[in-house]
Order: sequence, then structure tokens, then C-alpha cells
Amino acid sequence: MSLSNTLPALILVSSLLPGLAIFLLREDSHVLRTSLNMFGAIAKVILVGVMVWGVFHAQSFETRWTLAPGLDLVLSADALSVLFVALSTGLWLLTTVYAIGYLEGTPHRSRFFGFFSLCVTATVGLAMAGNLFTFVVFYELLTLATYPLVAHKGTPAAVRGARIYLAYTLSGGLLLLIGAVWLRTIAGPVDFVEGGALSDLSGLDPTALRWIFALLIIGLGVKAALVPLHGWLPQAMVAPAPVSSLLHAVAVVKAGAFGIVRVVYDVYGVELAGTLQLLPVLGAVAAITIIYGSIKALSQDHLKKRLAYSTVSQVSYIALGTAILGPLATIGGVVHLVHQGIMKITLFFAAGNYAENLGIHKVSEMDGVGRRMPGTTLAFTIAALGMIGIPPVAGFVSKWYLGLGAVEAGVAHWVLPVLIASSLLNAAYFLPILYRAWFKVAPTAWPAEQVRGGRLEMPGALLWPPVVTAALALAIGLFAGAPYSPLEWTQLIAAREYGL
Amino acid sequence: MSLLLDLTMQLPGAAVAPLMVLTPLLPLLLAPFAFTAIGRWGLALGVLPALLTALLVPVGSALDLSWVMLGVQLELDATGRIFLLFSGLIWLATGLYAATGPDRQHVAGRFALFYQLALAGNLLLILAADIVTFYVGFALMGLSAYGLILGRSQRARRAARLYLGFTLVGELALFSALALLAAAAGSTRFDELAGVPVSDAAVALLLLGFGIKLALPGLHPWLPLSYTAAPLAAVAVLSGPMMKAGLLGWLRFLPPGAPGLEPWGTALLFLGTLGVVLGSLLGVLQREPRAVLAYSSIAKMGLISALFGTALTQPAIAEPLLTALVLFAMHHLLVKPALFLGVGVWQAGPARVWVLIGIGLLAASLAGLPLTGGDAAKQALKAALNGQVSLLLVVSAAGTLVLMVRFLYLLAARAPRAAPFSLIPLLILVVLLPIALWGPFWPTEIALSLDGLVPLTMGAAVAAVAWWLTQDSPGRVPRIPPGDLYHWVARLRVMAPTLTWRGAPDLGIAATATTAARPRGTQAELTGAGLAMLVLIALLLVSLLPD
Repeated sequence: MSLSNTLPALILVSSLLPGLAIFLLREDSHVLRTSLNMFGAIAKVILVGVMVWGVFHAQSFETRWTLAPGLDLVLSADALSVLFVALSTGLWLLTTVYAIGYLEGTPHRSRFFGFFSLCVTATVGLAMAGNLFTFVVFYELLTLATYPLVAHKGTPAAVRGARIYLAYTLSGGLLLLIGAVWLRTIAGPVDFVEGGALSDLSGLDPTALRWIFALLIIGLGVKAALVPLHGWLPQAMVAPAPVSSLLHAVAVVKAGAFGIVRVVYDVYGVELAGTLQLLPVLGAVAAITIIYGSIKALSQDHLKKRLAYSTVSQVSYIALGTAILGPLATIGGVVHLVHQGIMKITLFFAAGNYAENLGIHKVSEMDGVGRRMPGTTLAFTIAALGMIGIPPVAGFVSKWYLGLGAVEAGVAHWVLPVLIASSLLNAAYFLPILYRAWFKVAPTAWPAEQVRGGRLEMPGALLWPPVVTAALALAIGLFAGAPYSPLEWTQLIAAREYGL
Repeated sequence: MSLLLDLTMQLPGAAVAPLMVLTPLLPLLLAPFAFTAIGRWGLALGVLPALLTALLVPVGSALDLSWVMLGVQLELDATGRIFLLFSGLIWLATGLYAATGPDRQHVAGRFALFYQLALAGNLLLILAADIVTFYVGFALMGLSAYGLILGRSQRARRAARLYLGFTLVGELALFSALALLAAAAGSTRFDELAGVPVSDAAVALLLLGFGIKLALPGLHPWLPLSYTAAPLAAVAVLSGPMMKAGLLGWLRFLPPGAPGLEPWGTALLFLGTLGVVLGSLLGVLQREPRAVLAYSSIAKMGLISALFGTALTQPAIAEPLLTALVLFAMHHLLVKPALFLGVGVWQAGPARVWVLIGIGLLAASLAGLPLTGGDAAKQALKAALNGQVSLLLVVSAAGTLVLMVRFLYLLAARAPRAAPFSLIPLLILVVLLPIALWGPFWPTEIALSLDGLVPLTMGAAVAAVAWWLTQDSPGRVPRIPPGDLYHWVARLRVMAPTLTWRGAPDLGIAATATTAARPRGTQAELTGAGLAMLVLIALLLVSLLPD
């Protein structure tokens, strides 16, 4: 038993055990529940820190359980999984703080935080999955753990949103499972290998491989909200704000996008995916999703709905970067996994604060909110500018590498217009919000203002998470060239995937 | 040759790097304090390291900040030094003016914040020695200027909205162009760009991106609206340093002599000439002093664009021509903001007759009358051009002269604004006057030349004829509101409502609240932005396809 074969399991357990324990707690044991939550979140951050250090220094970590001959549950750490694990762990810590503040005094908190922990457990599980089987297992677990969170409020709208979510994701999971089983029957156990597991095998039927690719991508595309599989995401905005943050930035949508990256790079490999002509189709779907999501976002007055369509659009940057062959586009796509997560979670935290503090749910109610809630609105502003791709916020770095990658791959004639149209559309649905918030005169009364004492505009547990994530979004753009930055880490990933 | 003194020996080597870093950094550091007591005086403080850098740091000093953004490269080259010095002077004068002028009670806060951000962007792009840093500076400057234009009036808000639409399109064109350049060169460093062929798509996008900043005809409607509606201090920095950043962009990314640039040079020569003619014609018809100055900027930038196009078509004379062109641009960079600040001082201040005489001298310098810096800059251009495009120079000078006469006439006819007596803005103008009048030359370098009298007679003749034709019936003078194209498109929109796309993206910000009050204006802003977007997309599609 050394660290190298227990660390992945420990990371999983650090949220699984607190989660299970929380289910058993009485509703009023607030202190104990909060302690368990925070203990799990902080322990995970420390463990992941060790793992990041180890992977950077070329150590390998692997936990393997053999369930049956040829059926292994494998958790391991490569550069790509560490990137996603670090993202979800860091953001989970902040979301936990936020959720504790957000749900203070509401019923069913033990149920909520129990599933909350399971959700993150499933996410890090699929992030560290070392083979396709393990990935599918955690992918389905994630679906089941998230459903009660979306339905948490118990209102008819919440239940309906959650049902739609479940119907979409279970169907997607089924397709993914069929694809995975089919692949297993023709190619044996599929481990995730940098450069592609299938690239070493020859004599496989290209037609079957194409069908399997389609099944896998459709299955993953449901969670990644590729058009036309995105219908559940705007419906799921009925969930409480911390859950929305989790759905959009940390867990669900990201799991789909991450899965697409895994399938293209580590199952098929860039060469095979190139020869099978699979990527242009994925690229076209991603481009359509980017534009469609942004156009839908324009006409939403409901703030969270606008943000939801924005997610539909922005997450497809990851798929787009994956669909363009070449290391620069890979960097752009994969780094957006992190950048989009940090920027979008900021936006949802802020949206939650507006709703919680002033009862603001609609864009049209946001006039003059900047003066009333400057910290939250500043965070929102930074994140929104980043989404448009304005330097030096993180989003610019993604966009720049996607642009470079498109030129490198010779597909600039359609990718650059997509990027530009998307930036203009992002500007068109974010800048009016900023204009209202900062430059318009506040109404005489807010829709539902909470009267609070205190020096800050909000309780600290709700104010600091968006401020921290916004600062982070700015910092990782401003210091993108620094060691250990997401960009540098992604460059490492791209170098390994392309064997550079 | 120019105002640059050789003081570079005075600076210990260890101070070079901190000074260069502080140049863009100090305004950024001051920005968060915009809302505090420091905000007002910070307007003048932020630019000081830039001026020290321009005066003291030796040319060729470079810095590699590899961990900032995508690897920031800073370098002070000869061109950058000239831009830095004169841009810095204008930012300093404008900052002092804003801190002490009639609006001094209102500058702390939003204005100070965006002023510092725009300043930081301007300084960063001048020192940038790589593509991404240049782009970051250019975007920061361009987008922050939105907050400067955005005054309290409805008119200023409309102007700011239109400005933002055009600027966003410009940024994105530039983004695409620079991605094409960087991918072709395999590097973002300027020194590794040299010799890399520039694709037609990249050239078109560069002309578009910087052309919006330089208000090429067709890309100009934002300019007269901003110049007439924004606070004067904002207009001063817009019309001087920020506008010239567009020229610096062309100088950095379109080296004459690179293969395939000649046809583009011809196109630019044509467009620029159109700018000279249209700017002068539409400018004379304006009824506001500021609007005349705005169209005069369009005409001057047209001339600069045309001459840059000439340099592209004739690489043989490009080097001396571009050197002269930079001096010419620097002259405009100094005079135009000085004129705008002069308008502010004249409206508010004491010693009105003397101020008007000062403004008259500045106008004479802009028109290139003998013994002014404008004349010296024109002579430098003529020498570099060997007698080519001399007709354009004469037409431009005559046009400017007529515009300046019109400007002075309109200004003198205006009733002054009642404002409290303030001495400092007047002093700023007094100090700025000789610099703008002769800059970027030493007074000793100015030789008496009577060439300037040719356009003078021509301009006078044109003005006399025009006056004679219209004096009996002022109604025969067509009324062209500032922003021409914008208003015509707006009118077209009203006549053909079916063209309106109901769910049109609200590019220029928030239609819902204002639509009811001013449906026409809002639609038109969308159209302006939409048209520019169409141009961009069409260019992209057309020029990217064949390769």
C-alpha cells in the first residue's frame, strides 16, 4: 500500500464518506454537517494538490479493482484527468461554502449535501477513470446523484425540470453504454491511453468504429448540451443556485465535454479520428451549437436562462477545439474546460446573489444593481467580459488558441467566422446586462429585498465565492504564461497527446 | 529633427526595466483608486512614467515578461519612442485639464477609471513587441474609451453605443488578422514576423480593424457623433493619441515591401483620397465647431491613409516616406487635442480674445500655413514623395484651411457658457500652444516656405465662391448632421420597416428601455453595427476562401 496506488481511491473517498455520513445526520445538526462538508472539501483539495505535484514530476498513480476477469475498475492520474480533478475539486470547495450560506435555514439540507457530495464523488471518479468501463459507471452515477439536486425545491416546476433532465441524461447514458459495450466486443477492454487506445489495433471495421463513435459522442453530447441534445439544460435552471453552478461549471456539462475529449484523444487518438473523417462532423455540430446557443441567449430575459444558453454555446468551444486537428486547437479546447468553468461558476454565484439578496431574477430588473451590490457585480462583470473573450480575462486565452489552431489546421475560413460571430453575440447578450447594472438608475424598490445588517452587501459565504472565482478568472488569464497555470498544464497535455 | 532630446545617458541601467514596466502598470494601479480622493489628480499622475521612459530610456531597450499573459514582450524602438513621448504629452495635458477644468467636480469616479484604463492600453500597445500584447493594449484602450464617451446626456450615450459597436467589430477583425499572422509566422514576436508573407485575408482584416480607429470613409460614422457629444477631455485623447494608435498598428503589421501588398496600397490610396474629399466637403457643411473639427480629423486621417497606401505601392521610397508620415501624424496628434482643449478653455475661461487668437494659431498650424509645424511636416512629406501625389497634398491643405476658417467662424459666433473662472486650464493651453504649434519640430527647424500659400489662395478662392453662392439663400446649403451615413441609414430604416429584424442583437446595448422613447435612433445604431458586422463577415468569407 503506497501512495501511488491509494491516492486516487483516497480522493474518491474524501467526498464519498462525508456524503454518506451526512445522509445519516439529523436535519438540525448544522455544525456537524458543515464540519463534515468542509473537512471533505479541504481534504480533497490537499490530496489533489499532492497528485498534481506528483503527475507534474512524472509519478504515476493508479488504483485498480478487478471486478471480474477483463472487467477492471481503474482510477488513475494522467495530465488530462488531473486538470479536470483539480478544477472540480477547487470549485467544489467554493461551491460548498456558497451552498452552506445559500441554504441556511431551509429544509432538507442533509439530503441536499449528501447528494451534493455524491455528485462530486462521481465527477472526480469519471475524471480519474482509467478505462471506458469505469468512465461509464461514474457517468451514470453522476446522473443519478444530480437528479435529486435539481428537484430539490420540490415545486412542480422543479420536479418537471428534474424529470426532463433525467429523461435526457438516462437516454444519453444508454447510448453511451451501448457504444462502450459494442467497442468492448470488437476491441477488448479499452484503456484510456495518451495517443489513443485504438491506434495500436489494426483490422477493425471502420464502419463499426464510425457508428460506435457516433453512439459515444451522442451519449456524451447530451450532458455536454450539444444541439439538438441540449433541451434539458435551460429547464434545469429551476435548481437552486449552487446546483446550477455545479451543473454548468463543475460536474454535469463538463463531464460530457470531458468525455468527448477522452474519446477523441485517448480512445480513438487524433490519427485514427483523422483518418476515419470523424472530426468534421463533430466540428460542425459544435459550431452550430455555439451559434445557436448564443442566439437563444439573446432573447432570454430570465437571467439564469440566459446564462444557461450561454453555457450551451460556450461548452461547445471545448468540442470545437477537440474537433480541429492540431496541438494548438487542442490547447484552446481543453484549457476552456477550466476557463469556462471558472467564469461560468462566477456568473451563477452572482445570479444566485441577486436572487437571494434583492429578489432579482430577470435581466430587466437589474438596473442600477452595481451600486447596490458592487462586489457581486464586479465579479459578474469580469466573468462576462471573459466570456466575450476580452483580454486579459481567461476566455481570451482559449479564443486565441482556438483561432491559432484553426489557422494551423487550415480551417480558418469557417472557424474564425464562428468565433467572431460568437464573440459578437456574447457581447450582445452580456454587455446590455453590464450597462444596466452599472449605468442605469436603480428603481425605488427592489423586487424582494432582504434586510440585513453588516458591513458587506451579502453574507460572506455568498459574497466571497464569486469574488474569488472572478479574481481567479482574471489571474489565470493575466498570468497564463506562469508555471502551473491551466494554459501551461494544457500545453503539457497537448504535447503528450500528439507525442511531441 | 524633432523634439526628442538625448537624455538617455542620464539613466542608470537598473532603472530601465522598472520604468518600462511602470509605464503601462501605473495607470492600471491607479484605476481602482478612481473613486477615491486620488482619482482626480491621478488623471495627471498616471502618464508620468511613460514620459520618463520616452525621455530617458535608451532606444532598443527590451523586456521579456514571459509569465505575464501569453509572454509579454516590451521594447522601446525609435517609432515607439516618438509615439510614447507625444501621446504622453497629450495624455498629461488632458489629464490636467480634466482635473482642473469646468467638469472637475465630476471626473473622479467613472471618468477617471476609464481614463486610466484607456491610458494603460495606449501605453501598452506602444511598447508592445509581440502580437498579443499589442492586441491586449489596443483592445483595452478601445473598449475603455466607451466609458469616456459615455457622458450624462442622451446624445453622448447614443454616441458611445455606436462607438462600442464599431470598436467591437474592429477588435474582432484585428483578432482574426493577428491569429492569421501569428499562425503563419509560428511566433507572436514582432522581430520574427519580418519577412513572413501576409495573406490577403490578414491584410483586409488589418485595414478594417485599424481603419475603424482611423475612421476611413464608410467606417467613420462613430467619429462625428463621439466628437460632438463626448466630454471635451475624452475627445482630446480620442482625436490625438488613440486615433494614431491605428497608424501605429499599420506600421507594425504591414511592412512595405512584403509580397502582395501593392494592390492593397492602391486601394488604400483610393480610400484615403475619398476620405480627404468627403471629410472636407461634409465638414464645411457642419454647424457646430466640434463637428467641423471631427470631419477635419476624417480628412487628415484620409491623407495619412492615402500616404501609407502610397508607401505600400512604392517600397523604394517607403522608408523616408513613413518617417515623414510619422512626423506628420505626430503634428496632428498634438494640434487636434490642443484645439479641442482650446474650445473648452474658450467656452469657460478668461481672456477670451487671447484664447481665440491662440486657437487661431493652432488652426493655422493644422492648415500648414508658413512658419508652423504643420508646414514643416508637409515639407518633410513633399521631400520624401519626390513630387508625387502633390495634388492630393494641395487639396488636403486647401480643404483643411477652409475647414479651419469655418471652425473659427462658428466658434466665434457662439455664445459663451457661463462658468466659474479657472486659471489652470488656461495655463495648460499656454504651455501646450508652442508645443502644438511647432511640434514635433524645434522652432529652429522651421524654415519659411511660401509653398503653403498655394493652398491658401486656393482655399480662400473656394471659400469666397462658396460664400458668394450661398449668402443670399442659406437654405440652399444642404444640412448634413454629424455622423452623416448613420442618419441616412436611420432614415432608410424608417422608410423600409420590413428590413428590420425584430430580434436583432442589441449590439450597442439595451434597446428595451429606450426603444419606446426613440425607436428611430436605436434601430439605427443596430444598423450601424450590423452593417459593419456584415462588412466584416463578407470580407472574411470572400478573402479566406481561395488560398
